[in-house]
Amino acid sequence: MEKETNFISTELLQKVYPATKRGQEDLTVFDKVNFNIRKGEFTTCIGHSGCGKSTILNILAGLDDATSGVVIMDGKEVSGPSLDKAVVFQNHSLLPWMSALDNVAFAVKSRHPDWSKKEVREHCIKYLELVGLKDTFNRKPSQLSGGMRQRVGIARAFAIESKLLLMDEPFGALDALTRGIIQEELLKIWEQTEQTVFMITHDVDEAIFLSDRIFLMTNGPSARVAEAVVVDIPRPRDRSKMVHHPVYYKIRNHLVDFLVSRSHELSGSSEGAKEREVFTGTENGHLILPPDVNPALI
Amino acid sequence: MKYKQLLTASALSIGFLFLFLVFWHTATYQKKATVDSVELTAEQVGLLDAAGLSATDRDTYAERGLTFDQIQQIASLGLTLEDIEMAGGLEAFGFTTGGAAEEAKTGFPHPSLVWEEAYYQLSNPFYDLGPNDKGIGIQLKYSLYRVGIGFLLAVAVAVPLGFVIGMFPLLNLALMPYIQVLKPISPLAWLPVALFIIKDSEAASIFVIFVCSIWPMLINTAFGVANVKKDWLNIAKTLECSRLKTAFTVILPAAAPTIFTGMRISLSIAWLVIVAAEMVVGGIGVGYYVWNEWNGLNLGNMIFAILAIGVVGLCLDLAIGQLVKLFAYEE
Repeated sequence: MEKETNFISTELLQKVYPATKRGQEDLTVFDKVNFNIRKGEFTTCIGHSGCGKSTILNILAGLDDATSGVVIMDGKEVSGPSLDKAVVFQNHSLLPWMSALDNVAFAVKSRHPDWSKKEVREHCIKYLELVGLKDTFNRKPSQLSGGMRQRVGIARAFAIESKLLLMDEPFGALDALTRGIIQEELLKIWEQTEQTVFMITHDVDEAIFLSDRIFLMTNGPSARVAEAVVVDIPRPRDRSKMVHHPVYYKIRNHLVDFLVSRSHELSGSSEGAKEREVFTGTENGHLILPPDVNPALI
Repeated sequence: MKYKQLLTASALSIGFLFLFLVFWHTATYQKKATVDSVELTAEQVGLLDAAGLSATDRDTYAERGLTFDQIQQIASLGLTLEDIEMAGGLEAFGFTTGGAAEEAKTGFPHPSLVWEEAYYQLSNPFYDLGPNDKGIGIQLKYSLYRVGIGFLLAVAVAVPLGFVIGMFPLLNLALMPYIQVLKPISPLAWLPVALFIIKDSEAASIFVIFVCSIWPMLINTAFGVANVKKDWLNIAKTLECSRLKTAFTVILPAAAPTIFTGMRISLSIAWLVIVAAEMVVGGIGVGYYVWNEWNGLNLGNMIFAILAIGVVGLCLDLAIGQLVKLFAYEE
């Protein structure tokens, strides 16, 4: 039953960067990464730098290839980028010679080549307004603030109405205030469009506020997804009320505890990892998924 | 603040120019020796009139300081002043007039002479008095024409080729050795080859411009195309853009500033090279003009032509600078 609702599943993903010098060993960034995402689910991925989060996102997007393992999306293996997978990059990645509107239109026209100019324009404006941009459509990215640029990037990703939305630390470069506002807008749009989201973040509070489930990655090399933390807080969520929810700090403490100590202990490359337990990723031919953990029930 | 700085800079520029002109002036100015005119007595005037010398000629000789004996000698030759000037002046006949002899020692032209030449040339830049006497405007026109044709041909070859080289790293690796060998060859070295193959001096100088313009554009275009930000290419990939569409909608605008900078470098090199090429090829054109004026020792004209080359070069650079600005973007 559960298998049918799986929209995305990764099977034994591994990324190895071969040695560049003699005497060097190959670098296995992550290994045996299994996880699944259900349709319409908002998931985030947390882990220390260098554990390969961005690489996993790029593999999901089809922009990078795994050394071994596959990604299944909607029953088909992912092989290369497509309009089904919209990406919001870390540094907005707007084309600097195009206006905000043209940047979004570039994406919309690719999605709907048969649309008239007017249809494209209206569609773009709808999404630019959804992310809270008004009257700045004709400005170039260099004339926009960091927050506005990131909003245009999000509008571009949403405007193609893809099944999957991938976001690589989309708010990393923003100040806390702007970040909070855009997070709320993001949630509002997501609730309307019901897209499936996979997002990378470093921010624990951001992850709790946005996610249904949070994937925790151990440290690299040989990183893996250790568990999926279930955020059992009802939607629509309100930031000011949410912090008073009884579960909030349980989840937060669980995440911080993981990042501070367990991410290292559980790492495939940590001392004594082999003696303790060798994580194989499979058992009797079946994939072992990281356990869903609900800190409210611990 | 910026306005004030600009004003100070302008004042300083003018000051430097003034200093330079003063230096030029003092280095080349030669005071004309003052000549005391000779007073002729009524008796002497009568004798000269009798010898058939006109009154105006006689007064001119006297003003130039010739003695009565000398004037009488000239009168006995039976020549008018006009005849003497035609034949090379009084000096040619052995009569020293002081001032003229002093002036002949001055090698480099005085700024005023260059100014006069400039005024003369600019008041009628397109005059045409035979193959070796054409106005600066005609000379510049021919040079600009050669540079224009050679440069545009180079654009037509270098930009598409550079684009393809930039798109395919394998091709880049395969062709780079040849480009690196050909690039440092002075374009003038191709001139004999071009003359031998094409057998036409006009086409040969255009070919030289073509060759020297190609390299900066080729290398800049390839570099610009190869170094388009990966993020921008990824955007095109996720939007399922075809290779061709990506090339025109993402790579070309992204690389445009680098490509135009290459064009700017090429054009300034082409303008440097055309002068040298025309000196060698001859015929017509601003390079040949400078050389021809040197051969005729018209130094004032030569200096004016050199300045004109500089001004035209500046204008070319400003023009293409505007194009660069048009395609520039801020990240």
